[in-house]
Amino acid sequence: MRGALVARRLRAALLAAVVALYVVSIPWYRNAGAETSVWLGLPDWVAVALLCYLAVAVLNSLAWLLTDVPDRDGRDESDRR
Amino acid sequence: MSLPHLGLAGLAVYLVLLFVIAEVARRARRSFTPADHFLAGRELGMFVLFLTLYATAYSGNSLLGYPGEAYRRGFSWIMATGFMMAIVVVFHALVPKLRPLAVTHGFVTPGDWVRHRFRGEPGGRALLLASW
Repeated sequence: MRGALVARRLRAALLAAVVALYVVSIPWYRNAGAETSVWLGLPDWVAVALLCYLAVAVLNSLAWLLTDVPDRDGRDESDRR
Repeated sequence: MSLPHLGLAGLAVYLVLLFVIAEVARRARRSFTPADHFLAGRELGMFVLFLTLYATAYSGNSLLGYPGEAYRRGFSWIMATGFMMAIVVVFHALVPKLRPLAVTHGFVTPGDWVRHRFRGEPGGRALLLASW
C-alpha cells in the first residue's frame, strides 16, 4: 500500500519534471537576435532543447514503469453483477 | 537501369509483397470480427505492438517530412522533435483510464469509446460522427 503511494508520488514528480523540461526547451530565455555560442556542435539553444528532449525520453520511460494500468475496469465489472 | 526505373521496380516489388502478405493474413484469420481484422485478434506480441504503435504515432511524417522541413527552415524546426515526443507523454492522461474500459467493453476504435460514453446524450451522435 505504502509502496503504491510512493510510486504514485514519484510518477507525479517525474511528470512534473517532464513538463518543466518542455518549458525549458523553448528558448524563452533568449532575446531576439542575441548572439549564439556553439555547444556540442550546435547553437546553444538547440543543444539545450535536444538535451531536454533526451531527458524527457528517460523520465517519461521511468514514469511509465511506475504507471499501474489495470486490465479490467473493476467498477464496471461490479456494476454488471 | 536508371534511378526512376529502380524506384518503380522497388514500388512494384513492394506492392506484390503487400498482396502476398495480405493473402497470408487472410488465410490465417480466425473470425470475421472487427477485432480480428483491426487488432489481429488482440494477440499481437510486445515487439509487433511496439512497431505498430510507433508507426501509428510517428509514421513517415516524422521520419521523412520533419527532417526535410528542418533542412528547409533551419534549427527552429528542432522543436518538432519534442512536440512529437509529447504524444507519448500525453498518453499518461489517457491510457490508465481508457485501457481498462477498452478491455472490459472490447473497444476496437476510439469511436467505440465515444459511443460508450455519450450514447443517448444530446450531441452524442454528432460527436461520434466527428470522431469517425
